Amino acid sequence: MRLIAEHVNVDFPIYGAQRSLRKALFARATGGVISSDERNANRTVIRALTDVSFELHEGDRLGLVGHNGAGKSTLLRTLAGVYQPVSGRILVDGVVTPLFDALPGLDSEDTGYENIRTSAMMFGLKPDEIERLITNVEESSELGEFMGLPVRTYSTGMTTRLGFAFATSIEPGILLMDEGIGAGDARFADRAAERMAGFLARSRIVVIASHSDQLIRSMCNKAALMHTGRVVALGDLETVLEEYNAFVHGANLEWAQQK
Amino acid sequence: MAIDLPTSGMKPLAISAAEDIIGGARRWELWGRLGWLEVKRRYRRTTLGPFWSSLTLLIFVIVMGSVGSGLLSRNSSEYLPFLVAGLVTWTMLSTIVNESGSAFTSGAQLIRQMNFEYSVLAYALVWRNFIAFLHNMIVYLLIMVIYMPQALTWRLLLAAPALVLLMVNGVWISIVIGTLTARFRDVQQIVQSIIQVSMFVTPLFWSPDSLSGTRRMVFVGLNPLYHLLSIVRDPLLGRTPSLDSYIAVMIITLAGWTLAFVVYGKFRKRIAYWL
Repeated sequence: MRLIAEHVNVDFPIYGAQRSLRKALFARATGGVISSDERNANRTVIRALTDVSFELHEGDRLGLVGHNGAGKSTLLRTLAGVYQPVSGRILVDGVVTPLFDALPGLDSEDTGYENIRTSAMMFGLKPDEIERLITNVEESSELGEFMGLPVRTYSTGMTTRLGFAFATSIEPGILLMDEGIGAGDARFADRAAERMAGFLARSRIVVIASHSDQLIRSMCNKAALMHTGRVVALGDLETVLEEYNAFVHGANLEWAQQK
Repeated sequence: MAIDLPTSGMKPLAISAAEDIIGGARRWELWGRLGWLEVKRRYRRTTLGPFWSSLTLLIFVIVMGSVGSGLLSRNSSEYLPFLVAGLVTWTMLSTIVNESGSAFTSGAQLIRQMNFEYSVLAYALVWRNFIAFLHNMIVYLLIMVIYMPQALTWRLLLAAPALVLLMVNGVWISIVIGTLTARFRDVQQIVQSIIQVSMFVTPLFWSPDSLSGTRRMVFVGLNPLYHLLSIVRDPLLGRTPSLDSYIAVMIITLAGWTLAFVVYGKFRKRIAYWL
């Protein structure tokens, strides 16, 4: 199992003004008159990731830290294959499991069982794997008969539990997570922590983005500090976290000074 | 952070348009399920369920049938079957086209979450409309048994391959319009307007034979919707579709899929950014 990011750049086009066909057609019509450079200048692009490179091996648990908008979520989604880089590439050996929403494709009109089955199929699980997964979710979610009712009848905590039970029942391979997965109420928390630990241990590679030092420390053995779309530090967990804290502190000082 | 290690055995994450379309078709269990759940969901809390739309169709056929047969001075035992056979087919075709714009936008949550064959969403869209079509066939059978039982012959079987062709076309339509709408939300509105007008200019309420000359050529001969419609409608009325219509549908299918591969090949990777 390996995951490689090679000089990855990701740009986000900002459409806003050009979302409508009329404006785009208009832009094209006037584009012939005005130089093409000028036309491109009208299209705003935000560079979300700049030259991101790293390599992860079996057993690596990478924590992504950084400010809001530093590019953590974008990087995770790029690693998941949601966004294709404008240049550079992502190479994988293994199955990538993105768990950004615990239940992908969740529809509240469908029952717990139906949602679990749909999500499992989205992840490409085989029929026998799905049956095993359903048994597992039945046991660990403690939802009992609610499993057969539409998810819209669930409380928030129950929906979270369903998602958590599902997520931690799958075999993740390369696991990508944004801020961990909620587990539900306190009564459930102890066993949830245990389940989560088991789940992480089964994952061969983990990449998780979080603002919480505590979460990163409990789950990771490596960290990467991101700033304005770049990986500015990568390596040993404590060193990078220290740098991040100094950075946060520094940024706050700067901000205070500006005031 | 240079990478010197060999990258053999590793694959890039990107899915090409062809892999998407072919791989998506193979995941029939998934799109079959997505399509079916959508049908189930849409009508979950109603008594008649999916048959509501069939009931609407029945009422429409009876009312429109009696007005129309008067207007066009046609025998209602001839006009009602013509109308119902056309409308069941048209409903499927036009609903697919109308919904095609939201093929990808409605799956935004999934597309932003993971990398998969988005074409699955197009197959699901077509599939759920086929399920709706099967419900509406009850109305068709009812009208046929009452007014034209003699038309229920072996020729009905010709409707099956024609339906498959219609669905195959539905998929490229969903992929093309779905992709374009993801970028330009206006496209869906434009398409819906076109479909609304097409309902009256396509021989659906009136027989193609009632037009002649240039008008016939424009609204019948050169109307792709007419050919897609008639390869299904004719067998439903116990007739063999004309060779012209089969040829036209073949051309539409080939041209449409070529367009789908071009558009999807160029823009598939941008869809996630547009949503």
